[in-house]
Amino acid sequence: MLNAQTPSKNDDLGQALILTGILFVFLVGCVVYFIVLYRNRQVKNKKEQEEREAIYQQELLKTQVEIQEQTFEQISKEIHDNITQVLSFVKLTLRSLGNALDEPNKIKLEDTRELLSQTIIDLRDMSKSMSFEHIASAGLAKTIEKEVERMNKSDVIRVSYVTEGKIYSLGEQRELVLFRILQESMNNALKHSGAQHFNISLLYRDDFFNLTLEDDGSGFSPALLENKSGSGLRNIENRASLIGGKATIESAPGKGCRVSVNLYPLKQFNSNGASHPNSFS
Amino acid sequence: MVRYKRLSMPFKILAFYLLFLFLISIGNKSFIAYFGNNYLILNIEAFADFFFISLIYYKLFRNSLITKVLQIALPVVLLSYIYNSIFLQPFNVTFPGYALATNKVLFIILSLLLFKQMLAEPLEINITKQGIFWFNIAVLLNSTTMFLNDYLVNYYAKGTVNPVVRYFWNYSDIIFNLILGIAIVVETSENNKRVNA
Repeated sequence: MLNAQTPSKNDDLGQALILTGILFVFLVGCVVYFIVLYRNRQVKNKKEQEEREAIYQQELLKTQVEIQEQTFEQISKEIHDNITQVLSFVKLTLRSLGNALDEPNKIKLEDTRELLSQTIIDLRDMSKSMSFEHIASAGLAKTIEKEVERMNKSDVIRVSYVTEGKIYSLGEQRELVLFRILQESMNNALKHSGAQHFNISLLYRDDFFNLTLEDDGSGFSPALLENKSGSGLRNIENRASLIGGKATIESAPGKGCRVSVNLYPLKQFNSNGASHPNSFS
Repeated sequence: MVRYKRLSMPFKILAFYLLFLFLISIGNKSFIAYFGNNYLILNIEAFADFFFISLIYYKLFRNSLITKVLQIALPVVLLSYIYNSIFLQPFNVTFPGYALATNKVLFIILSLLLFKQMLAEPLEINITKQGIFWFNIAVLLNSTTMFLNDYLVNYYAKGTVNPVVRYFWNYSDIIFNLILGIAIVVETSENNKRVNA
């Protein structure tokens, strides 16, 4: 009874087993193919997600910059149209008061008026350095020149400024962002590093632009650069990337700080067409 | 029990299904010893297989059309199985070939559709660490090899004894249950990681 299999049944069984083997190999092949396909999709999805994240960060940064510029513009207008006007009125009033005073007090009043005049000039300069319109109309090189003059007048820090190559316009938005990077670096040098000197250099080549900012302050550990905990440093890099540039920050304790921003204006204009980084919107 | 609580709904159903399969396999032997065949058990198993696995797929699919089709198919197919086990292949005398074959065809379609969904919406987790992948693999392998199984069972039922025939069913069942077990373990550890993260 146990050996009741007929030859034809054995053949059937053999065929069935062969078919199953083929099917099994095919299935395993399909599974392997599926895994490979799935991994490829994962990589592709991750890339897309990173791209979306980068675009989102870029948009966020643009918005931040726009809001900051609007705020600066408002403060600039407020200083120019209101505070300096009031101070000018105070100056005129002091002048009229001078006739009623004796000689020693007259001298004191004159000193006060001179101080007030200086304050008005400083405020106007500050207003200009904050105003987008002013930076746009004067251009980057000229605006930096004015800023250097203003800083040197304050005697807080010695600022030197050099340009190399034929100056050309990088576009309003780019020049504004570069100027804000300069302000951020200068602010860092003044507030945190206790620098005595600050060097600014602009290098204009036909297809390349470089802005280098150096101070001789206390510097900071490269670890700070790695974790980018300083929002000012992060801002510099983000702002540079916003205009299609690349910022490099170098520093070490006791060795000051060096910020270098590289731009390839022509390359970016060609590759991005109408939506080149010169425009935020 | 702690692991069960951490499972998502489809895998809770799967765990329950595995428990059911375990109980069925225990009952199977005593049933054969008592009645001389296990057709009733096989009928119940075919019915339960479709119910549990379709329900798991229903919970796993995100495509509204597929879930709607499953919603309709579930009662219709189950009713047809009851009809089959009463009128076409009486449960006390016949092997439920129609029900089992239908199950396998439907499971192959569902598993392929789930693979398609997985490809369309890949997760960041490594595929081998996804319970859904192992579950789908188990169903696909089991459903495809079961065609041979069913053939062999018929062969076996005709009084032919062959070691390959005798054990093929058992081995494929063991592999099927093992992969389903992997699916649950993998899913639990992944859920643990997500909870701890």
